[in-house]
Amino acid sequence: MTNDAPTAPRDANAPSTAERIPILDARGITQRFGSLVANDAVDFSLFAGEVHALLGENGAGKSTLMKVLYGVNTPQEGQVLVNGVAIEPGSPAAARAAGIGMVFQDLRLVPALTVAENIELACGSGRYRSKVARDRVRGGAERYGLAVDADAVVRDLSIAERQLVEILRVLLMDARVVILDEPTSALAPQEVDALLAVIERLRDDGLGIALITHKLAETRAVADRATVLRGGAMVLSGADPRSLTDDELIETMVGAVPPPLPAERVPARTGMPALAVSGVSANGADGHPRLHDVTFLVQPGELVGVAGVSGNGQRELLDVVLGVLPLSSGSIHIGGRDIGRSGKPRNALRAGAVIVPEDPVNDAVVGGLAILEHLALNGRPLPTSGPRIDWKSVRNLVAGNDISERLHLAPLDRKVATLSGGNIQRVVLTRTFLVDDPKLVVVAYPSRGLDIASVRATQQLLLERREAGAGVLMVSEDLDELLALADRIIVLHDGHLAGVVEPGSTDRQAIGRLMLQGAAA
Amino acid sequence: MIEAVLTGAVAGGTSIVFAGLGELTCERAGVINLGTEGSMLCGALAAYVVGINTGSPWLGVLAGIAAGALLASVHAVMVLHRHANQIAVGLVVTFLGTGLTSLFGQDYVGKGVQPLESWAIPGLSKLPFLGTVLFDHDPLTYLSFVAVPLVAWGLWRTRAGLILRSAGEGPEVLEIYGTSARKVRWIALLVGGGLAGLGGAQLSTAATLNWSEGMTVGRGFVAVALVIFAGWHPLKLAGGAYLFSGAIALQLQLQARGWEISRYLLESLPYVTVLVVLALLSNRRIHGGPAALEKVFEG
Repeated sequence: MTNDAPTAPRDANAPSTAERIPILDARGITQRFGSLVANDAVDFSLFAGEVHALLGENGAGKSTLMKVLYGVNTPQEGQVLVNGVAIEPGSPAAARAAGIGMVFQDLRLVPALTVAENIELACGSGRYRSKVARDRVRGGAERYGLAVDADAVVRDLSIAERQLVEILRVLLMDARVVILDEPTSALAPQEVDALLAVIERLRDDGLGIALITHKLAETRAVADRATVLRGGAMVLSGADPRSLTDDELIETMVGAVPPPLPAERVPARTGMPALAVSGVSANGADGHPRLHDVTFLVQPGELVGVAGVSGNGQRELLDVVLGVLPLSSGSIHIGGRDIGRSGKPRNALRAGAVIVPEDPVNDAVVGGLAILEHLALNGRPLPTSGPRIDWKSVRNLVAGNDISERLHLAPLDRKVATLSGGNIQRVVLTRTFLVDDPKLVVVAYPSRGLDIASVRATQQLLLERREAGAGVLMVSEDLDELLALADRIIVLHDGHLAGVVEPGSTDRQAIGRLMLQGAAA
Repeated sequence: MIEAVLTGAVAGGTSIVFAGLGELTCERAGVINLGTEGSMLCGALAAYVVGINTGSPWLGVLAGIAAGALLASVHAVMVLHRHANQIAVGLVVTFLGTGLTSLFGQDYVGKGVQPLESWAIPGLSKLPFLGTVLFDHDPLTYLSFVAVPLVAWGLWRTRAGLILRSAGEGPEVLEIYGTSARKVRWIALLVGGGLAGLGGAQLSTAATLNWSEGMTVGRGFVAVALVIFAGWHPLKLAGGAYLFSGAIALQLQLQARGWEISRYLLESLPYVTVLVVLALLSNRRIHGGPAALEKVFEG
């Protein structure tokens, strides 16, 4: 099953792909879930030695299509052929046996085991000998040029390193097709570049790579062809991305190009800082020190971004600013008021902070309550008329401005348990933006789970808050978002403040160095 | 006196070593089995009864293993199929084992059993000091000497051990490659219950040569505590087991020598010892456990 696939010409622009048999060919895939059509007659083909990007927004049907290819879903119509032969639908084992390998977004590795043990689990058989397992990893790492240490415990590896382990695992399982599901979403810029280089090397080795993404830059960097899905339908099929402009690509994905953000900004105000973090150290929930002597200010009318590879203290920084996590030293003032060191969120809320937490689904909503009830539970005193909660005033507040409309909020009486992650994010964002005159807006990953239009609306609302005089602290994994919105960006590395940069006078590489190496960079 | 205490530590530690290895097997696979105490009692009684009725202590030992595994299968059904809370079910299973053995054991209290004879190992047992401490014991104690490194080897050097550890660390990953985590945990519980039963059998047919109601007096629970304090490692577990039984042997010696301390105070010494050690060590052990321990996995 390994080498009978026709080898691609090394020149990726060769026009003759039509005469060759694709190693992977999905034809007319239609997948319905109840009344929802997740994939509507979608085609996706892949030749040996090419990278084919699958683009689309959240909910466009990308993951559904990949699950069909990998045999997790059984489509109602259409079939998947490997080297011209149809494979059994709905069987991951059949897909694996046919040489299809998948690197999932939530990486499928056992953290407590070593790299060699993890790979042994996937592709070992017969008697287990640790030397054989380690040699297999070393040999594979050398052959494919992947920097993977066989004896490292997966728990100690960064996301980028784990991804390489997953890729190696897939390759060692004799895959000829590698499906990568949003592989760059948690990586620093340098790590993205390194991963793209690996993808190119694998392509030159004759493998077929399906790259699921919503990022145009990486599509341009490595993809030979691009297919775009929107609302389950195929709006672009196997086109050369170089023949299209960015705006054209965005338009195929979204339907319309969202309006640009305003280029002119009111300068930040002076006076009492909206947030003053001085010499703060804190332990994480597990008792280990996670923040070390962090000091910075957010002025009123200033938007400060927080960058860092995930797990470098962002969560703890959010938690100490909101008083969820006690400080081991230092102090935090919101609008001039000391919120104390003992970890009481009430102090931060009373001082005028509002928040969109890191994990809204688990930390910010109560599944059994309606959206309306969530909008009332915003940390401020409830509007009452006599002993009753005045729900009417909450409805009037929502109706009285266009925030819910701009964010495409679901109907107010829907129970939150019935909402998707993106719609829960909209509830939490709406609640935050409805609070009158906050001193400080703390927002984590504002665009998580949202479509491009809602992302833009959220960004505009954040800038409006900033302009109205609130300090904004924004944690994001998306450097483009940080560079577009922030007045200043602080970079966290291993719980230390590695540096403060201004978007106008820095580049992505410099921020990436701070993210990866800390202040020593 | 030191020689007597150490000899007592080794002989008395055997049952805890077996029960602890059983618990360790379960927990490495992701299941806390507080039914270990119950499995020990079942093993002790079954070995005793079968030993008396057949005249063969070895058949008794086999019956003890089977009885321990049978009780653990109750835990398996509740935890792996009904997704019941592991702590609650484990406690109830232990009470079930206590009750059943009290019921079926009442006619056997005080009856003598054909004991599992000690084998003094020729040559080695004549060594000064070490000879008595290590080489003049019942065969199950020698078996426990082998079992500890064998379990360690099995966990880290065999495919079965790799799969067992994966069931406790990342069952969802195991499922992707077509191995049922539930099946692995079933096997771990049967093996674990069987080992606890073996420990109980050693207690009744080799150590005390007697059956009495609730005769394990918490050894099964001590084994559970020791697994955690040993950081889920067989060799450290054995060390803890011998420390505990050494404390028992010490207090017996002190009682025998007529120390003017309350007998009840002395009898609490082994438990206090374990508590103190746990208090000293547990702070840095908290994060050593299998990641999926006690988590429900709907495989």
